[in-house]
Amino acid sequence: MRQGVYLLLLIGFLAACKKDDPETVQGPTPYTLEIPSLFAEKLIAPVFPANNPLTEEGVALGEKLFFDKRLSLDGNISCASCHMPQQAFSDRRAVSLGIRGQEGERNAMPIFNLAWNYDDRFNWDGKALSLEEQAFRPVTHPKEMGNNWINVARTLQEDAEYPDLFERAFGIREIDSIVITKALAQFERTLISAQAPFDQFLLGQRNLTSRQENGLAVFMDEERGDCFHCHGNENNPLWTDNDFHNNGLDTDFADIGLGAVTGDPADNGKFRTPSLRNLTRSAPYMHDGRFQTLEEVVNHYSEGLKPSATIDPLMKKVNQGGVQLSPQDKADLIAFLRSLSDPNFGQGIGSGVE
Amino acid sequence: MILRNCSLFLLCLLMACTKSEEETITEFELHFTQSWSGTPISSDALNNVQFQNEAGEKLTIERLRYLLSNIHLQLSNGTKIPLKAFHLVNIQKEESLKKTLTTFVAPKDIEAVSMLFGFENETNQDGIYPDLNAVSWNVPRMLGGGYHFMQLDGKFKNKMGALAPYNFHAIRAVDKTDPENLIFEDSFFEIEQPIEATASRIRMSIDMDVSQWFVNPHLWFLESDATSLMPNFEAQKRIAANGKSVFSIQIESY
Repeated sequence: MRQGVYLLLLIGFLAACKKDDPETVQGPTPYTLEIPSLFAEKLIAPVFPANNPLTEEGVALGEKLFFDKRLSLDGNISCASCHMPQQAFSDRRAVSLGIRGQEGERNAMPIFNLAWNYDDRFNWDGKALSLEEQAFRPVTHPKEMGNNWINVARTLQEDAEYPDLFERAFGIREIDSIVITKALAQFERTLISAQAPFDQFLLGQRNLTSRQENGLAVFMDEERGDCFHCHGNENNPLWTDNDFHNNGLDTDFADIGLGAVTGDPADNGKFRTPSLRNLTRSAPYMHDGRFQTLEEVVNHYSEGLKPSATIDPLMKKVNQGGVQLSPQDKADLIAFLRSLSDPNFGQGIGSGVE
Repeated sequence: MILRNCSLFLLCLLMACTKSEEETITEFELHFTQSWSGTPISSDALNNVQFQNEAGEKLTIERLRYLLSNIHLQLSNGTKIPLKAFHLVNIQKEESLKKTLTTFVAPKDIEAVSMLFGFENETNQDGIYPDLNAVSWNVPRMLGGGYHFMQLDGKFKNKMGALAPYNFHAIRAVDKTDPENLIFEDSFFEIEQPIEATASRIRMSIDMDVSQWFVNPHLWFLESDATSLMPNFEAQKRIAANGKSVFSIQIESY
């Protein structure tokens, strides 16, 4: 008899649960990131923080925010103003212009394949310890967007669309800096570049020209370019080690880079290795945008190295000025580097958003 | 009454499990340390000209990464128990300097631990390890591909008194005189240490005495051999020969 009562209670309880199910609020839809076959084959899985998984709604919101100029104090600057899709999400200027036309401090880094930055250190100096943190700073930097987060949150809260979009993405209508930077980081993690001619070569879909072949050989030859120790190789399709090096730009540093973050003088003059992908659209080069052309960059490593206490030992011929490439090897190296640029990267992103 | 009997049974069961586990499980704590003639090298002292090799050259150590592979136990019954396929040590990454591993082997059955510096040829295939690709540990295909065994970088004071870079990189030795017909010579080597364990926890300190790379049997002069050593067949053979006296392993069971 007593067992029968318990059974009835259990059935009632289960029925009650079932009744509630259709009313359960649906969470955001998980985003399926299409990982390029070369990346899947050659690299370990990309980094996604457990507290900010990619969702369809979060990525779409991040894209909208990325192009929204209302993040800046005067309404004239969006993330995309300095990280332009057509420039591989970098800037044509050596240093970008912020609000009131103020010049920034460093060259805007391109944005792609950032989910594969395993050490999770971003910016030229590694100051940001996640993509979310990276997205935090430009909004309040006086030379960039010059705004404050309370103002940004209020502006978006008063918008007709945003509260709904945040609710769909994160389940809350109250907008703050945390969810804004989460959405921006989600969008940035979906920016993947892996369709360069050299990728197609690795996939067996095309051949290299003889000049590109020699350029690759120069790149991989420890006795010539020796670029691979910092910039990767056919088995590291990121074309960066995402590590920090002093590549011999200066003897005295106007900007000490990583050293200002760690406080260790041994890190002075060190900056994060940029990827070599999309160089044809990410000029000018280096942390201060000092080089306008790839020819200038190659000349720097060939004859222009400057000694300093922290210069990386991989700049092995610093006492001879550099690796002393022949004119032919320089030209071929550049031909190879150009083959790492993806002509379609960035197309269609941001279209239709303000 | 029933409850008390059940509790006693459960207690007996747990005790039996504990006793059994103690007999068949050994926990290893691997510590990877680096020293210069007995003095520990710490990552916060990199970049200082604080070392002097046997040839009298003063030098810095600014980067030190090396790979150990096929880390395994040799048991008294002749079997080999793998502990780890490979491990990349990076003096600047704290998490790479300590590794805890557990095996279902009784301590009394373990005779020795053994590992390789670098990869043996069968496992040194080009591009097959995504975690090593991700940290650009590869060797160019023009040198046979595969992976580095070590990257030891720094600067030394040359005859002119100036600091000059050195890149003491170890790979599988290759003669590329004929690029179409590369000739290889093995340059990985085995490191072995007997174990007499008295308890189920074993602390294993694997130390690299970096000074030994420049001494025995080949006295090394950075003045003449400092950079572009990867394609240097003779240099790679000498590095491998010098490596035999570089590693020591201390075992402590507790």
